[in-house]
Parts: sequence; C-alpha cells; structure tokens
Amino acid sequence: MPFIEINTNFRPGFESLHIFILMIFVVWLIILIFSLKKYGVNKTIRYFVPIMIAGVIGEFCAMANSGYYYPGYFLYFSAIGASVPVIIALGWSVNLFIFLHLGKGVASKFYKKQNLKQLFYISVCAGFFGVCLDLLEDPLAHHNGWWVWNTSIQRIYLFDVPLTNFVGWFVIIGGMTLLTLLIDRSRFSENRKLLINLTAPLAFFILLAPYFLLR
Amino acid sequence: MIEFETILILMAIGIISLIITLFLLFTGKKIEPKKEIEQEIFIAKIFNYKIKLVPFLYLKMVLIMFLIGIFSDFLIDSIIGLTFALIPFVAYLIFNTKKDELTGK
Repeated sequence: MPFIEINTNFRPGFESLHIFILMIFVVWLIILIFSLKKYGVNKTIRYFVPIMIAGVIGEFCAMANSGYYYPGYFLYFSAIGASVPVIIALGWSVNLFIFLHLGKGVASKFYKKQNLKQLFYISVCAGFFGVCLDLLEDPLAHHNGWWVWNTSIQRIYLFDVPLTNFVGWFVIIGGMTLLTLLIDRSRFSENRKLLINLTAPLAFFILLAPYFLLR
Repeated sequence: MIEFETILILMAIGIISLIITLFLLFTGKKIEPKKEIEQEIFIAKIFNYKIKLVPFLYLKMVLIMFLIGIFSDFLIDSIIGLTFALIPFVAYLIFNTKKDELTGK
C-alpha cells in the first residue's frame, strides 16, 4: 500500500468540509511564511515537521485503536491500516505554532523566570488552549461529518466526542510544546537541534508498541 | 486491529530513534546561545488594542468555525464551543494588551 493515497471519491460541490480545509491551508500558509521570515528555515522546520510526525502517529494509532475515519478528503497519508488526510497533518502544525505562541504569551507573563518551571507552565497553557479550541472544533466536525467516530465502542463522551480525544489533544500539544521549547533553549548547534527534534517524536513508538500488545 | 509484525516494526523505529536522539544529546558540543530580540509584529487593532498575527489568526479560525456551526444548524453547541474557544484569545489579550500610543487609551 502506498504511503500517500489520492481519494477518488473526493466530495463534489462546495460544503462546510471544503471551507474547513481551505481555512486550515490558508492559515498554515500564512504562519509558514511568517515563521520563515521571523525564525528562518531551520527553526521553521523544527516548528512544523516534528508535530506533523507526532500528530500523524497519534492519529494512526487512535484510528487503529478506536475506529474513527476521515471521509471525503483528497490526499491521505496511509499506514498500519489507517488513513489520515494530509490537511489534518498540516492542521497539527498550525495547532502547535498557534498554541505555543499563545501559551508563551500568557505563561511567560505570569511567571517571568526563564527556567524549567516556566517551560512547564507554557506547555500546560498550550495544551489547555488546544483543548479549548477542540471543544468547538470536534463537536462541529462530528456534526458535519468531517470525521466520523465509531459510536459502538463504550466510552465516556463529551459533546458526542470521546473524552480520550481531548486527553490526546492535551498530551500531543502540551508534550510537543515542551519538547520544542526544551530543544529551543538547549545550547546545541542549530543543525543538532533540528535532528533531535525530528528523531525525538519517533521515539514515542516505544511506548505505543507495548500499549497495542497489552490491550 | 494492528498486526504483530507492524507492532514490531513500530518498536524497532522507536528504539532506533531513541538511540539516535540519545547519541545526539550526549555527544553534542554546547555553544553559547545568541541573544535573540523578538520583533513585535502587530497587524490589527481591535478596540484600540494592537494585536499580533498569531492571536489574530486564531480568532479568525474560531470565528470561521463558529459561522460554519451557525449555518449548519448547530447553534447551541457552537455557542458553547465558542465560549471555550475564546478563552485562549481572551487570556492572551489580558496578559498582552498594549495601549494605543496615539490615543493613549
């Protein structure tokens, strides 16, 4: 099976899904240009690529585990029996960039010392802000069929969305914010920072493998 | 359901990545960090308050999704969702407002 798939049943016409896709793509493009201008190529890759890797890994595992799917998108990443739209991967990089900056903007104002505690507060803020946005986005996506949850599995639901989804958002955004900021503030060369940032999210596979074996 | 072979491949990728990460962490020379001065880029003005690009984009995303909710007969849940989604923006505004230098307000 190829890693990238094209969906021939792409939804025709113009509906809410297309507005959502267009919005994510435009915002992604704007922050990509903004980041390239403000931070340069190296830092931009660190802000955009690792979260896409972590986000897509998280989506693959959650989809293989709980059976939700994304109908009607055009381009998909496909692996381990699950397909994640490319735009969702871009969406994860938008989420990290926005919530990292908002978290920094809030947490660094109420805790000004530049130490590990500050990074922890920024990450918690970023994760919490991510959940706040998801409380609007996920119920809306479920209502409009942008992604479809398998409701036959017994679990706790909040606004028709599994509670574990919100936990996942908090962990991925909070965790990746912490990782990105820790690497940002380290004293390694820029190239080494980039390599560490790219390999570190993949190391989380070690934790996921026993999870799938034990369940 | 994920096959056993797939799980082994995932674990192998994870272990190799962890080894490379640890190698990079423990063999790197530490250099003195350059002091970066972050440029303040304001792009919009709301109620006499200047606003940066990132919170502005966030607000735009939230409002577009709220509008989609209204037009897809999802009003009540959209209002509840909007209330939650505005928390980050309001928190950012509270901690980062810069008063307009022209009007002094």
